[in-house]
Amino acid sequence: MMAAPTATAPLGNAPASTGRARRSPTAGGASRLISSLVWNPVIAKELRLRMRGWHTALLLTGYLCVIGGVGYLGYSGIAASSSDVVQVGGTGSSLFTGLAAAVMVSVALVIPGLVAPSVSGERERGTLELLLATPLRPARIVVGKLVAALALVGFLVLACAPLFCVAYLLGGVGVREALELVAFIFVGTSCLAALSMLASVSLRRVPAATVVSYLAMLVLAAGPFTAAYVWQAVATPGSPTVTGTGGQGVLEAVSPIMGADALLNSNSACGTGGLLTPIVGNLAPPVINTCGGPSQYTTNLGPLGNWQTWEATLAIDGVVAIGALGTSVLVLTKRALP
Amino acid sequence: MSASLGTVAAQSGLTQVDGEPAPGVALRAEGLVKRFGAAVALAGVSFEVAPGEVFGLAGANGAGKTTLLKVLAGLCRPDEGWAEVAGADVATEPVRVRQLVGYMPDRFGVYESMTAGEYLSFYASCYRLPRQHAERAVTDLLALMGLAAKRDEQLNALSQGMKQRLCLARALVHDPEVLLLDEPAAGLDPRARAELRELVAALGEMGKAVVISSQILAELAEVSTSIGILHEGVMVASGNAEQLLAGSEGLEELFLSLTEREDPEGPAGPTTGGLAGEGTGEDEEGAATK
Ligand SMILES: Nc1ncnc2c1ncn2[C@@H]1O[C@H](COP(=O)(O)OP(=O)(O)OP(=O)(O)O)[C@@H](O)[C@H]1O
Ligand SMILES: [Mg+2]
Repeated sequence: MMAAPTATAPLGNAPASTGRARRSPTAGGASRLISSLVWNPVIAKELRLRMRGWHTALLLTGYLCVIGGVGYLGYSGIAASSSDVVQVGGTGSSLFTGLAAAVMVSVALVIPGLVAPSVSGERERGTLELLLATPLRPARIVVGKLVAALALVGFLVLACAPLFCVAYLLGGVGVREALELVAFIFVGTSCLAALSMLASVSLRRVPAATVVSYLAMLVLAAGPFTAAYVWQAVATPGSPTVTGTGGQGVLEAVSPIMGADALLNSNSACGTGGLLTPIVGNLAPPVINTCGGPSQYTTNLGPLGNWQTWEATLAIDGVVAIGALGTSVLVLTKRALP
Repeated sequence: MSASLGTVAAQSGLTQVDGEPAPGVALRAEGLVKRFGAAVALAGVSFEVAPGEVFGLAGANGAGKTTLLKVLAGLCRPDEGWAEVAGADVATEPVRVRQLVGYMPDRFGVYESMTAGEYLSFYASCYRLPRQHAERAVTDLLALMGLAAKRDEQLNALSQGMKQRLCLARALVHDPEVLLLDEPAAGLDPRARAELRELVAALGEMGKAVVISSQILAELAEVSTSIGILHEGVMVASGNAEQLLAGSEGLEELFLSLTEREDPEGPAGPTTGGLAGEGTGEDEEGAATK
């Protein structure tokens, strides 16, 4: 049952010889460096434990029922209002919009519940100290848990790809819209996940971390445009409409709801700057977001130019995500070595 | 666990630390101070442990044992003083310290829905053991702890004592040079405690430095080659177990005489002063003569 002493030498001397040699990036060159950057045992552990319970199966079932229901209602609406195939053609965009909105709302509701318990739960169960006692750095632990949560969300989004294909077949949506939607969901999800992670590393208890995470989600979603409208109403009484210019416009664009509205609105305007346009502009011409729509869907980012609002949201929330992630790592590092 | 635990441990994946007691010390602390707000948990603790030495740490509740072990495990930064574990400074190189140390906390939780095998494999991967070595280490350690039959059983089906043994296996999974065990015997049945003592002795014979805290002083005295008594954050006595216990009837009596609460002379009484003064000197001797 026991291994012979000679055969077991590698296990034994791991910290002294093998362990150190493996960590040295100079020895194996670039591939070793990359593997040491990517290496993260926390991801596999999180996913494995997550998939084991019945929670995930229940979550997936409920989620698919909701998205499927939205898809069914959207499709039957289209089918009822059009008498033949020719008329149905080009109506995919409304189905696409409905599905995209449903996915965004579901994902926003799932993320805090998924991320908030990730570190606070380990603390509550008494496993965090054992994890911190290993050579895993806090940054790796935080990133590992976030990646695991995002992977699950990616799975949820992918699971409704068939429904999006129906919208695609109906016409009216293109590759560009799909790319935009994926980019938007990815950044919005990361932002929300990073804020939830900050709550998770800062608070001792799972319920507290969960409540604070959902509050953060509400503040992120509704706070900016509420504040922007109040600001506008105070600054220019009588015309409480935010026009996408000035500080109010930028503030408003922080909210993923504004971004989503701009992204999914079929009359959305084209900005002169932006993120995706330079990259996919020629590759995939917009089908929904044709230029010339109302200016409330553009945001003036000062020296950066006039961006589509949803792209401004993408950029701002990306910065918020990175900030929250960095702060989470700092907080956990402090916890690791008080 | 099998009866001949010592030999089993020797045959397992755990390695002998090279031959003779290595030169120098495995673990050294100098004037460690740790405060929590106004409370002083450690008030200048100095001691050292040589490879192959089993250092028994005794002390009343709140004496600072857990705090001391956390500082040594690189999990708590000392306010003053310094400590070195296997050549790594706990304050400036905590990650390296964590690689070299096996730490078992006094209170801990487990991932209840993991199996015993997965549990150890996960920690093996945290220490970046190559997969094959990790698998062998897991098999060996489960056998060593008498948990081989539980390999594929979820941890919520294990008793508290079994989890305790699993956690001890976890501390050994990367074959550390220094072991810090915080009350590992608490909650174990008499047989498991006896086997734990045997295992600790075997680890010492392999040349590993072991610091073990316990409230069961008779058992602590039996397993330790040197002993330290912490009282209110001060190491009031430390040194070779035989020398330290020579003048008294046992560790319990020595402990009670050194840590009297109401005695105005307190821990600074004549007997204590002598012992505390000689403490580190004896410690070094103990290490050298080992
Ligand atoms: N996180 C903390 N915050 C505040 N005070 C603390 C903290 N940890 C320990 N202390 C204090 O430090 C002192 C030493 O505590 P420690 O846990 O090290 O004692 P111990 O010897 O392990 O006791 P026990 O035998 O009960 O385990 C105690 O007075 C305790 O109240
Ligand atoms: Mg303690």
